[in-house]
Amino acid sequence: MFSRLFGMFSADMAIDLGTANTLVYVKGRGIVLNEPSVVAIHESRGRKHVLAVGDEAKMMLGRTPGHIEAIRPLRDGVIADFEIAEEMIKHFIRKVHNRRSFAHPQIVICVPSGSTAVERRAIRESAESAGARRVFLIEEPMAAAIGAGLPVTEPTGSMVVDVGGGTTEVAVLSLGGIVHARCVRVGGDKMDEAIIAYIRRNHNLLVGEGSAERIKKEIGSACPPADGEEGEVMEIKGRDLLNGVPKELIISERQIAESLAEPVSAIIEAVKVALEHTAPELAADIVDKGIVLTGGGALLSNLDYVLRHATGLPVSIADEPLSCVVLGTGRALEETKTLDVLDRY
Amino acid sequence: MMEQPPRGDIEQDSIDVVGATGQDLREQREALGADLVEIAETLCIRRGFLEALEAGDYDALPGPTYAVGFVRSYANHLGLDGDKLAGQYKIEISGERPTAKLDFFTPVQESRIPRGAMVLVTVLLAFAIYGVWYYMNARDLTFSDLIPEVPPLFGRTAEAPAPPLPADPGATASPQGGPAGDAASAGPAAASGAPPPPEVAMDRQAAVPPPPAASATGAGAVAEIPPPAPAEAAGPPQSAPAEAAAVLAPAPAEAAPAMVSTRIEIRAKADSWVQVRTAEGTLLVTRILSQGTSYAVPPQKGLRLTTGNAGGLEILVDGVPVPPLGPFGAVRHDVALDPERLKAGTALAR
Repeated sequence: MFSRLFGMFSADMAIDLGTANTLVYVKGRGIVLNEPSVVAIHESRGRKHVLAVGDEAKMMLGRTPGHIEAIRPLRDGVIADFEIAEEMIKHFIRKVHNRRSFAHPQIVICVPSGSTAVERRAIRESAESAGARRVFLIEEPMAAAIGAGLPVTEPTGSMVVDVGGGTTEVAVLSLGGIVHARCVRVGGDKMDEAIIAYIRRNHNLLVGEGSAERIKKEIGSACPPADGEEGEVMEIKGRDLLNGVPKELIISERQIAESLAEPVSAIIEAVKVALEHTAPELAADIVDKGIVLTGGGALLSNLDYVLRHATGLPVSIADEPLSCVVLGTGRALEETKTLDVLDRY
Repeated sequence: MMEQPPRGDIEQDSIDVVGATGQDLREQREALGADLVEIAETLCIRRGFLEALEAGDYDALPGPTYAVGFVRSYANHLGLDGDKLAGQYKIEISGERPTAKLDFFTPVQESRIPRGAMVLVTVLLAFAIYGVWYYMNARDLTFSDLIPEVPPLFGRTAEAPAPPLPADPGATASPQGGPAGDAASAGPAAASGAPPPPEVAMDRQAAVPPPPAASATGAGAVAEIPPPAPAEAAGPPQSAPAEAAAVLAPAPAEAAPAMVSTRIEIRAKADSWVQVRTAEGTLLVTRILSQGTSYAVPPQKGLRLTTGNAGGLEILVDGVPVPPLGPFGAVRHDVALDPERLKAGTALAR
């Protein structure tokens, strides 16, 4: 009874606490915040202060002097640095939550399906200490499927592949629950690392994480262009490993596709394994409708093509794949009945 | 991918027609001369879905998310702008298909009191309790005040177990002045309709107030029974009930000192079980008389005694022992507690 009363005064929010980006959805207002999950810490006389969070902090990533540290508190989809993550969540909540309202908000946070109880507890406690009145956890694939508009509560199988920053979640859902989920710790970050490693190995050039991410977004592809073409090309800058001076070189789509072969095949493998574990009735549903791709990784060009060829199933990319998860989480927040269901987990 | 200049005719105004997206796709495919079966194989989308899409039969397609994906893939495959056509398709189906509802299956509630009713009852109960509390506080009452006054007659009974009986015209006019305590010796003497004292054990008598006035017959000479006191003497020290009783029947008390109470006394030489019934069969007493105690039989006619140890009992009529009922350990039924018959030794039932 009281929770409904408080609900009128507090801005309940849904948070997609992603490895790469954190998105916040406020009830009745939609997505109000979309910032990188990066925190910059200033350290002086042994005491740490938060210097910047989000976009500002991301600019500092890899460019910090000794007394500043830019940290990504989430690794592989879960909290790696508890205190920093708590600071980050607090910052985002403060930024979003109307200070005039006295009631603490209810918060729905999504967690990777493969996260352990300890990891879930860490996320829950972070949110609680950041001022949440009540914390609900929703599993990421479920949120992604709801956000993509799949009929998750119907007695029909749906398969969703959410390629996030830290993890790739493959899940088969039916009747409002996850029938089978597979979470591999391969995502956008691993792709960046693969690009860095490839360039260093083949061109003796060291590029930063930010540059690698930019390369992936611009010319990244899950499969090399057909007919032996090189595809698009891009100038990249970094430090030459041989003589230690900054250097610039041109890299092609084909090369990046080669570098991404390993993480992409890991994703394909996860999808195949999940399909193997799918009950025949659900498999029959999936054959007709196919797989839905969500998450930032879905934007990697030709990933749908590669998956389609590997599985023989139709593959669709959800609308706004980057915000599917937070939209789904927000949708769960908007419907009180759903929250009651989540409360039982 | 097949190269084809982007079509400029997909405009907002052409979107109004349901099926426009499908039509565009079909025209493009026919222009390219592509085979639907081949495309279906390449895209891994069932041919039926592609046909339905081209025909504008959107209801045959799976959920909107999938259908949009199909449109995008198909359009991209044909060299069209997939995102644009997907957007157009979404506008076409908007309003037709509401987004999937989030109706989670929840376990059926077992039959329980609905929460609302529970809350209502609790609130009402709280108000009721508060009301009572407030009423009592406001009037400075306690709970015992809420209980109605005990009716006067009953009150006397309660306070004086053997109430003085109103004088029975036919009887010896012997209301007892005192409360008559246990007064085995008391009340029933008048043989009126008043309830007789249930039972009296002699061992308790020492503690009780003085018994009623002695009668002219000298009854109540039982050793343990304290000497009878005249009603007048008993009156003043007695408490209110006694006075009340006196008020009820003062005259006879003064006129004729009450008659006796009892003539028969059963004394236990050894622990013996006794049971006394009235003539109608009402149980007056059933207990074990322990050694040394005695029981004054109410002066009532037709009482019958049953005992499990006839030899253990000594029966006194007017203080004089009568012949024993039987040997030690003998069971005797229906011994008539009639002074004369006891004296005569004929009290035993045949």
